[in-house]
Amino acid sequence: MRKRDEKPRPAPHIAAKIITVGAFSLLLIPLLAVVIYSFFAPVSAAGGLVWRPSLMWYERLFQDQLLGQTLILSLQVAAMTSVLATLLGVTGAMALERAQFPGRRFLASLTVVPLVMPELVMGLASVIWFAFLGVRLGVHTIVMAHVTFALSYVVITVRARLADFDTSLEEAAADLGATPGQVFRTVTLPLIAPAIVAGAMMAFTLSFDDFLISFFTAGAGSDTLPMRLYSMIRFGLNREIYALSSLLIFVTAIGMGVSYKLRVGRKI
Amino acid sequence: MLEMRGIDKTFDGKAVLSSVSLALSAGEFFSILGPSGCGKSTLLRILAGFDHPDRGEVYLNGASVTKTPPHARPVNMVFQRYALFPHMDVAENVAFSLRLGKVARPERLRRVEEALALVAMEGFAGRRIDTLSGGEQQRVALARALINRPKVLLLDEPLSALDLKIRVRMQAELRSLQRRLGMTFVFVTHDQSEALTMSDRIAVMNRGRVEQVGSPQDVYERPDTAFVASFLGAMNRLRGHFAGPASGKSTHGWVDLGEGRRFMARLPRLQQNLPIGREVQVQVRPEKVQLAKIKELAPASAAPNVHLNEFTCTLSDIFYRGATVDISGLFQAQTSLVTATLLNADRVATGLCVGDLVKFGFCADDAWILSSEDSHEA
Repeated sequence: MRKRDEKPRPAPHIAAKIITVGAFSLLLIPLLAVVIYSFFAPVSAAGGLVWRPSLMWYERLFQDQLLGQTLILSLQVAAMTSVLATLLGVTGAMALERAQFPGRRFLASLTVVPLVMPELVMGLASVIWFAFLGVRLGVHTIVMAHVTFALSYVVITVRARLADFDTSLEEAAADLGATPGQVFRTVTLPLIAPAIVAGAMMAFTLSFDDFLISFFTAGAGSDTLPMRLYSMIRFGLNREIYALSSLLIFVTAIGMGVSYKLRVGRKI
Repeated sequence: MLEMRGIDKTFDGKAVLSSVSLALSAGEFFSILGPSGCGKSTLLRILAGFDHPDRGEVYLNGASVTKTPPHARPVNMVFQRYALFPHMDVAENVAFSLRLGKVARPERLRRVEEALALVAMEGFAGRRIDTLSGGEQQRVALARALINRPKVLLLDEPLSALDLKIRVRMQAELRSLQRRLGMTFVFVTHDQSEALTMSDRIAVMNRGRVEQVGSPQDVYERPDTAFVASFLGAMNRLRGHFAGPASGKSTHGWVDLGEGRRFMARLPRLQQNLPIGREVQVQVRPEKVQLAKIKELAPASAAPNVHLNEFTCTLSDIFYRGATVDISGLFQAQTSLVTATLLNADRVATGLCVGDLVKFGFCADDAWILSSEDSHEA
């Protein structure tokens, strides 16, 4: 892909550099520390305990059956959330971007509500709503609550892609004999696919990471990984928690990285 | 074979097309010419089936296709920005309609090759779209639209995004392609020289209406309305009052320009009922104006039965245009400007300078009278 010709920019002021480095350090050093600490374990040596590089905490982590169960549950929840949010999000984005109906603008503005609403409120509201409807809390309620906020991200990413979509491509396909369904399959879908995958990845990561909303909407025995992490912390900080946190950071970084790449990487 | 009858279309209460009726014959290169916003693109979109008229019908070979969706119409379109599918290579773009039609692979490959050969793009089959130049994309778009041999090919300003040199070459190629295939082309453009060069017939549109339909010679040399006259080519406009038809010829009339000066010019068919005294313009193309240094009359005046309108001007400007030169003169107490376009070689021979007193003249048959009332839109 060709780079658009970029104008040369002035070099930043030295103060700007210092502030930038400082701000990023403040943000990232704690994360880095967690990751580094997770790879060191005490080994008894001649002079007492010595900290050496080791995968001991990760081994313990993987031997922990309860933890394994919560990991699988978290992955399941994230996968279901991702699929549901993507299906609803893509159709929603199509409707908001392409169809003409009363209340369209109002509906479109509603899609950002979950992004600006405090998570605590979202979680609380969900649990109250489930209680009111008499829905028993469990994995399904976590998924439903996650879909409500992950949906927004899918709608926003896909809508952005549809907005700068050249509709004459779809007209050309129709002109060449494609029925509306064929136009969608052969032209629209392949061209918005990067945005759909980006949205799906984002939904997956957000769901996998989420603690607060899961905490409110989970039933007994449906603990997700972040919830397990939280309960481990209550029994005191140990290095297993560092290892677990590192894993969470890793999964999130990959998911967000892929999502970002897909959103900005390809232009029509 | 392609016919539009009484097409009306409004967008948001604004009339875009008003009772447009056109009939095209098979194998014709038909241009729809007009300024931007005249409704020509909407008309083309109605022919393709992307838009639907509020009233009126579109007939193809006698059958109404007004309600037929675009994918079921045997017409194809070349889009202004080509609209090539960026996620497919050249061959996949060209083969798009064949794949939909479930044409077998060997047949498909053969026809793609054939279509690419038609537009001189052999060897480009595997290329990505974003590696092609504008002219190459244009050819691919053409091959894609032609592969099914549609009855009618619609072209929406297909050359407007190209550089001048490529544009001129594509004009010639499009024209010869159309002749070779014997297909009906409907060519939308705002470029009058493009329309004049390429078309068998031209429909000139303005404000959602068809002002005139005719051959390039018709619309250029015998415009029906002031708009057509001014939209195609340069024009001299001399103001005056209608002084009645010329004796013996109802096709010609006199115009009084004041100071006792009278010019004779043709009366176009839509202007036959002009009342005497009506404000009119005598219009004449600059290349039809002759001039001679004073006391050397233009030789054309010697021909019998041809009325030559003569008048004396002071040369005010000489514009060098390469092959030709535009010479402007003032007359009627310095209020009217007349421009004559001459071959540059002639000008050099006469050796004219600004300020010279020069005799201008034009034949009555080369000029026409149009009511000033409908020229405000020009």
